[in-house]
Amino acid sequence: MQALWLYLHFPSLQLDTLYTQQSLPLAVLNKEKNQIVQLNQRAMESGLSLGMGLGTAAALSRDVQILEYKQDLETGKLTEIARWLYFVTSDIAFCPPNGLLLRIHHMLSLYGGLEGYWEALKSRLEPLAVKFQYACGLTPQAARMLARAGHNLLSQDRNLLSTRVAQCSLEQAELVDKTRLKLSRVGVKNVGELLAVPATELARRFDMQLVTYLGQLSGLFHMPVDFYHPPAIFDQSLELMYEIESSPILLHPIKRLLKDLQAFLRLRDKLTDELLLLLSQRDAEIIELKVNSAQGEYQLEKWLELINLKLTNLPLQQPVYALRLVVRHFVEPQGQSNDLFSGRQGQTSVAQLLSVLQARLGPEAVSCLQLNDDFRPELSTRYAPPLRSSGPPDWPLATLRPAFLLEPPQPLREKVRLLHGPERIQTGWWDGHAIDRDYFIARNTQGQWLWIFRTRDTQWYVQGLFS
Amino acid sequence: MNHLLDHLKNKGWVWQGDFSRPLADKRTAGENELLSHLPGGLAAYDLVEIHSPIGIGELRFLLPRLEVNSSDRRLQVWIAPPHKPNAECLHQAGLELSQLWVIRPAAARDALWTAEQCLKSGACHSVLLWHGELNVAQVKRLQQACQQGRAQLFLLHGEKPQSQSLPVSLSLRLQPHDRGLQVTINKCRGSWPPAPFTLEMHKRWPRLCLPRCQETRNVIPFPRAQAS
Repeated sequence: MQALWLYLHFPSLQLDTLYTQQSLPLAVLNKEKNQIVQLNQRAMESGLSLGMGLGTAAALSRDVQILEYKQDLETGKLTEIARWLYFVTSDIAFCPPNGLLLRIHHMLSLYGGLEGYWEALKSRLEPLAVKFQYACGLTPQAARMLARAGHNLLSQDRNLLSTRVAQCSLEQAELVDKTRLKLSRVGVKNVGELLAVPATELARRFDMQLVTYLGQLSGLFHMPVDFYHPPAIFDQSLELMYEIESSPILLHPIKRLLKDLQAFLRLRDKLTDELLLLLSQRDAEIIELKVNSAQGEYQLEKWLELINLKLTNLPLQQPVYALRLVVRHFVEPQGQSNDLFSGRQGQTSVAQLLSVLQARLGPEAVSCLQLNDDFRPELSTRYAPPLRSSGPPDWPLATLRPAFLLEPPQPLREKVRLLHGPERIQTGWWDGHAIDRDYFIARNTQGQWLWIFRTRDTQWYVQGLFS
Repeated sequence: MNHLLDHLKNKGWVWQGDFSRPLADKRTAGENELLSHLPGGLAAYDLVEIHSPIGIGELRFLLPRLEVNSSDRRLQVWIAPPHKPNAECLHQAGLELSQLWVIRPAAARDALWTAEQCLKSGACHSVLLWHGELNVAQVKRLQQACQQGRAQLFLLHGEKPQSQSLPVSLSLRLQPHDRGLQVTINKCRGSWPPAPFTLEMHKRWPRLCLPRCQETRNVIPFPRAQAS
């Protein structure tokens, strides 16, 4: 099988993935070189072109928005695209900062030819709404050169591909300026002429770099390629064009991240029960928002609802300029059955209800009661996290206890009538909370049933109410 | 004309005397005492308002109902109880502790929100809410949530009656009584409220009732020497 490579070149990756309306003229400026490297449609219409300096650009268009070029941002985006494309094609390699190299000859028989493969790939790329140029090539370097030159060529024809490579000018080949100048001086006009020169002759007159490059271009030398393996976590960030100060507005960009998460989870048939949302603020610490759901979810609406609840409790001190959504933990979906005949109308499960409540009230607000094997009334009941059932108690329980316990016990300040008692509880000497009390059931003049005790030094306290 | 009437009825804007929306489960075991005074018992009402001082037996009044409700393995939720509920007592009363959630919201506004969420979720059978004064709109929302989730809400207030009449299904007032509770029904949807009655509790809670004969005094009069 003949090797075939496809190169995808994203000329304006940073600009395309910015969260903003594209109605303003926007330009991305490389600060070190003082060159405009990316432009949107509006900016081109107003006369700007690539390679201009900042001064020229500002003189040409008054309202152009300039953004600083950030390579790590593009690399991050490239990873996202690779992750997204991984579902249709297997061998993906990065060519930073803005290219992806795909080895496609293995994939062709799966998709029934190049057309079918390209259709599948294109249907993946289009929803991302990024500009791209592409080209096939017999070697990685050839595909890269053709794609960057904007050939948009899709073919398996060896002759056609070789001809196209040969027709490329020296500017399109990745050569050092000095070498390029030297070559043009000796009369080499295009890549074809350059390839015709025997390698030994070239090696004598030029440096090894050129020979290596040409060898890789023609397929004589092997080019080492590192293929991508997608990580098992979801980690996506979103840069905002404008800073957002109010949390309800923040929901819109969050929705976009959640949509990607939904697609990510659905493709893997997984659910998640915890999101980590990081909000980068202008002059303050990054806010880490942990959103939990007791039941695994993948749907956008469910997560949006939970995040909305979290955000209502979160005052933003500083405007937010970037978002990041991280999901590290995944759970398998589980079937859940409801009673068909009971005709219940509410559709929330217990776990869903718990996550909704905890999202707004905090994780400690919802609790279960649990029995504890202790005679001391303060310790016989404890709060426990819900949804964790404990078996029935295997120790004897007292017969009559009040429904409410006062914490801490209040001194008795009224006249009461003692009706039952005493019941002595004398225990706890081993852990420093020893008690020695005589308990009585009493009724006060308002008709309240109290559970009171007398300490050894005849102090009287109310500890419970028989509600 | 009939068409218009049907339309209004469908919207629930016209209320008829025989119209009542029964809950799915109308079993009333353990409520015999109450049934003889209040036809249908508590089961027939989805939003029950209770005015009662704390600690006179208001929970004991509700326990039989809660026990029956919990037979469908749904949750019961206690929102903002005034004190810490005692697991021992509730376990003794026959409630499943893992099916009982205690929610302590930080603010009163959150308590109402929590009650609404729990009621309409369909995951809870009963919600007990300790809350101060409510307005008509809030009660209507809660009522709707009750119907949506087929749940029962028990609103527990202090003794002071509300300044206005709320659109609840059943409103009653509890007062202490030697043998149990004195129950006054202020309003019950669908019928005239019955006359105030006494709910005897000595069968189930013999030790939380005053002894019948009031003469058992601890003070024995000292026998005086006969003058003559």
